[in-house]
Amino acid sequence: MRLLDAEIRRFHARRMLLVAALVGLAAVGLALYGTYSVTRPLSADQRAAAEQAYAAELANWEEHGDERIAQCLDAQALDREQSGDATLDYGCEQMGPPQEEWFVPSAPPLGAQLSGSLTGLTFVLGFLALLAGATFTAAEASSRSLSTWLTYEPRRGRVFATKVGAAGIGVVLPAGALLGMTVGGAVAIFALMGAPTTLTADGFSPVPDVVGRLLVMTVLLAVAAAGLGLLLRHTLAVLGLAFGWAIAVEGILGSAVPRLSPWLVLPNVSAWVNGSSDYYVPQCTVSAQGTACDYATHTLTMTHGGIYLAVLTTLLVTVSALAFRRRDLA
Amino acid sequence: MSDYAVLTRDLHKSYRTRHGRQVAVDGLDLRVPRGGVHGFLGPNGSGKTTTIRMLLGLVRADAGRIRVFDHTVPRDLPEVTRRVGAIVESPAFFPAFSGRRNLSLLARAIGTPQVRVDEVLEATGLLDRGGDRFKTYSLGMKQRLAIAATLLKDPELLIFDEPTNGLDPAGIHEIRGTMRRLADEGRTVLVSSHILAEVEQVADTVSIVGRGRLLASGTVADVIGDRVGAVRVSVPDPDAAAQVLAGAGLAVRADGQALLVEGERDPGRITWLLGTQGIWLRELVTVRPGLESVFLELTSGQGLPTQPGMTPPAPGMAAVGAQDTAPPAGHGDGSAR
Repeated sequence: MRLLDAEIRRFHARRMLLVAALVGLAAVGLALYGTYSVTRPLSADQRAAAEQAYAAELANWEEHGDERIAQCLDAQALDREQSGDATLDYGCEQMGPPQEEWFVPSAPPLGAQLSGSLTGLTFVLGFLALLAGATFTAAEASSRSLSTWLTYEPRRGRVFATKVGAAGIGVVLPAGALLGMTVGGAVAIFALMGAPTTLTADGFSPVPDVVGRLLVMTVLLAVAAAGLGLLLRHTLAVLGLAFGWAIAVEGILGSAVPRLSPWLVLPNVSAWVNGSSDYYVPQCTVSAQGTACDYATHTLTMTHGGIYLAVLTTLLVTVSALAFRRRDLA
Repeated sequence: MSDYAVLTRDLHKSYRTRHGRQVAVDGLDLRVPRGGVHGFLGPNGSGKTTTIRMLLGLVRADAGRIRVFDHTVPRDLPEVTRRVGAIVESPAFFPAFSGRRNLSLLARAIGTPQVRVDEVLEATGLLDRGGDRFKTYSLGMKQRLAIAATLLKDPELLIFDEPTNGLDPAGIHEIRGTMRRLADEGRTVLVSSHILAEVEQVADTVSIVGRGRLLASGTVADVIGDRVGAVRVSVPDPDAAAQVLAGAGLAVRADGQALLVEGERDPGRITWLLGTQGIWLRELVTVRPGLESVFLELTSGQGLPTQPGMTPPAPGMAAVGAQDTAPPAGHGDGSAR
């Protein structure tokens, strides 16, 4: 525990953590500005213009609405006849008069806004966790202070465990603070703007879940990055690997071969944080008329995402630990 | 309990490089007696730092045995480490942290009371600068902080790897004094260096290595042994004196305005030879061979794969290979003894 205590203190004393926290604060500020934007009341001019637009559109509907519905039904019937598919639905029955909220926006439910803000922070938190974890160990390895440390505690297994553990534990407080500010700030903005702050069970229940899952993701990424930092010994190497992977594998290969999505990091992060994540696999048929492709929707579950992230982190940390135990140090 | 703080036996270590395997340590038998300052000497690339890293468990030996305070290393490192303080090459700490914070973290990690941090800062003269960032320290201050860090453990063995590299004369003097003081407190100080003059002044015993092998070890006097030094002769007519001495079979060479006569144990013979030719001496000084000349003699053949005639030294005694090799010209310690 002494070692872990010392490492956590070191983690929290690092300037990089301060920089990461400032970047995180900026991201939280943007999220809260987004909340403010959707909750602030319209000015008198904006409201007048919006009401005018609504009135004009309503008048237009009253004059031409039936005609539009008829045109829609005609087009639907023609398409059904030509395709032979009687189930084609243009949604003509759903056509109706414009609603006032389309033109005069009102604040969304607090729960929905919060969930959106929190999931919007996923990649910022992920990047900051990666940076904080990687630089925590890699800077130590590259500055040789790791060797100094090992002349005080030579048990490498313990040293490794406390370093990656400290990275994981160390990010909880700043990440929790950022998420708390996002939630608290949104509630405060809703209250200040006079928007309803009551959270229905439906609206509120996902928020603690999303916060919890974001924290878990942040911890796993920090731990994995700290392990990689000890393995690669340079922060830039870790970041280069992460971004290279994101571009080459997640981006290019993932787009070219959508079936790989269950085994890629980003879709699994998204599934874990958002509760699920869809990906689309093209299913093409070749006929005399040419090739027709349809996209089959597949869903990655939150459980799949969680297990994937846990296994990936364990693998990275294990490889790094094995290398660290055997490596000669300068 | 063994008389030695450090014992290595047939220690080997090689590294893989782009050009194949490079042998760093090649069957090294090192013995560091308990107490006193032990100089670990060798030219750059002779395996000193690798050996020290193996003693500390930072580098894994390919073969051989290491015992530190009768404990097998690396197996018993947890027991050994708290008795050993080490500075390997340049002091390495967290650069953005203050000296005090660096020491505080180390103290916390090993369970040393925080009050000890200021004690060791004061002992090394860094108390006033303890709050400054490590990266703002001068090289001398970094060395002092590293020494302060080793003292957190109150170690019985201190290992300093090239501790005076880059220091100014005052810094070198200070480090030398610190090493001596620590040894006088009953600790063992193992100091590696390729700058022999400073080690000679402070070391009680030495080991000389070359190409990863032990070339000689023992007390400084043992290692220098009965090597014949040189005699510096000042006369009014050096050319005539040189002819006389060379004619008597002595090795003579110019040394500024004087002559340096090598290989003659008896200065009286030189006096007699010159006197009988009517050449009267202005000055006659016996130049005792220093550790540096011994070192250069021992390591001069290091371009060869092996040293012919090299034998492992007996414990506590000098064992010197290539004893028939004359000391290289101009490498006496230059001082009259």
